[in-house]
Amino acid sequence: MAGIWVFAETVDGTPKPVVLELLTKARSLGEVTAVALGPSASKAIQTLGEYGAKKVYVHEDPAFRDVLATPAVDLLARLIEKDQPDLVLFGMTYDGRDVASRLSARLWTALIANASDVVNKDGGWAIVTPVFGGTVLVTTVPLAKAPTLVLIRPKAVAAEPASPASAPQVETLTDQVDTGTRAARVLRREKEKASGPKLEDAAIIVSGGRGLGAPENFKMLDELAAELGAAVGASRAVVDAGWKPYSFQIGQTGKTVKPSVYIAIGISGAMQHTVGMKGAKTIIAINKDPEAPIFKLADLGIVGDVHTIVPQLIQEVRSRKGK
Amino acid sequence: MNVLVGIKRVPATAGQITLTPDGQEIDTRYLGFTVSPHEECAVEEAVRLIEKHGGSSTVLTLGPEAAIDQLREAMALGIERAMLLETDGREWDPVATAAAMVEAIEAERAAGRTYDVVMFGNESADSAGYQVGVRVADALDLPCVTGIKALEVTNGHATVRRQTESGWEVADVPLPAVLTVKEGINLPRYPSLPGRLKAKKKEIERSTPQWQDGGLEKIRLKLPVQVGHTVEILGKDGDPGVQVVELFQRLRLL
Repeated sequence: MAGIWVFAETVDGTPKPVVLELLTKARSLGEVTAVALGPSASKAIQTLGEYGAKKVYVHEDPAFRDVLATPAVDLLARLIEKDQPDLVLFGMTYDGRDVASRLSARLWTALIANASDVVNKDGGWAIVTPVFGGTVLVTTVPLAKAPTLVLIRPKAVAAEPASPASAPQVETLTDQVDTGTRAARVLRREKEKASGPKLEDAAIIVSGGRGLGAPENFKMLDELAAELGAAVGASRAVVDAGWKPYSFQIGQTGKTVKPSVYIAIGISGAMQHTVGMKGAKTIIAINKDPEAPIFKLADLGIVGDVHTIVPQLIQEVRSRKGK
Repeated sequence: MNVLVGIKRVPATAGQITLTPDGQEIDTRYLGFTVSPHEECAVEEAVRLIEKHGGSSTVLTLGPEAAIDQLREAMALGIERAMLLETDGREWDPVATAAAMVEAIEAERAAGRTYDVVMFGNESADSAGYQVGVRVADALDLPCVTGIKALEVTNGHATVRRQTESGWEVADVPLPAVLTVKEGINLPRYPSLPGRLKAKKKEIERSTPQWQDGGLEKIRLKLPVQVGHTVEILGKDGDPGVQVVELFQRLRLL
């Protein structure tokens, strides 16, 4: 049976959500080994087993948390030489990308980034990658020596616990971690102070574009969002214009969101924006131009002036809430 | 200090993408070209570093002869030198691209030109491999921080900020280092007319690298099926108040 490894990133002993997705995919492809590194990593063992890991490597040295990428790469390279897995899956996170890219360079083995799926094909693997914001799908078959390294996008696979789940075999490593002097060290980590839901997790997003006319008109969106319990997003045009900071940007070079309801207000619907939000269950567009491309994507549309409609929308929500 | 920035010529992605008849490449005949947004910011950041600390800046790309346009755009913003690693127009994978860039950087070192900061965009706008910078760092045995949104250089060290899934990380990295930049780190300036004119006359240093195989084979490109879709417009000629009420009834949002 093929050996499938999962790089199991943990935060204070809890696996990142993408790790459970990777394990779900991995166990459909072969026998799963998870590698969990950093302080409290052993706390994750049970969950890793529940999602299909048969074996877990654990190393709890703080260097895996405090030094970027290189300690994990050194250790993974050693373990991979020893066990020779067929496939190693990483989540497309900041650390996952750094570790996978460096490991691929170190082992001189193939790495496929940004994948949405891995399937069996003729005794090997075929990996599917969306490019150009999902408008073109590329299928790649690795020919290089094993293992193939694959970075899988978060939320590409739905995480499901294995049934029956079994307690994994655990191998705790304690060998010295040499970080060297020429390494990037984390000085501190800051939790983002968020008011309201995060864009990535919000069920409802109210998003504004150039059609709002001026930066101060974004206040209407903040008000509407507060009434709806929604997060506020923006198109690249208004971020470029300096109306909103980059963290609000949805689209190709910003965030990718999948809310239940996406309300696009004064957004024309350029491809760079729509690739970041077209996964929304229901898209509502408000725009004065009936020919705007956003209406090709939207489920419901209102053709009209955002400056009239949005205040009425806010009023309507308030009256329904009995305010 | 000396700064090197790597950029990539990519199709302007707002255009309609079509494939070549054999399904192996993107048909680029009718596409406009540009530089990825993250890399525009890397170029701007390099220009700012030199404005602040003095030194020299160089832009490097691997691509077809036409990528000279993108090199000149970078020079119009204030980068001094430009190097083109010229290909036959095929899309080079990240392994081959990084190997060619490493070779170029080593040739620079042999010629007495070393770099304190080697900068890239976090990922390209087309293939988004996220790898070239990291691979270059590993081959040159340099530390690397990706996805940075703020950069401060003091005493041979860089302090960088990068966004993570849950917030921010502030890291210290000794120079020389490879840094990959994310859009939002700065707002790139527009090129001035004198800048453009000056860039037009500048020499581009050209060489032709050899492809080093990374062991990947592309099977095919596929355009996803376009699903026919119709929007329902709520009371186009009606009273906006009525439209809004109708909208809420449809959604039962509250």
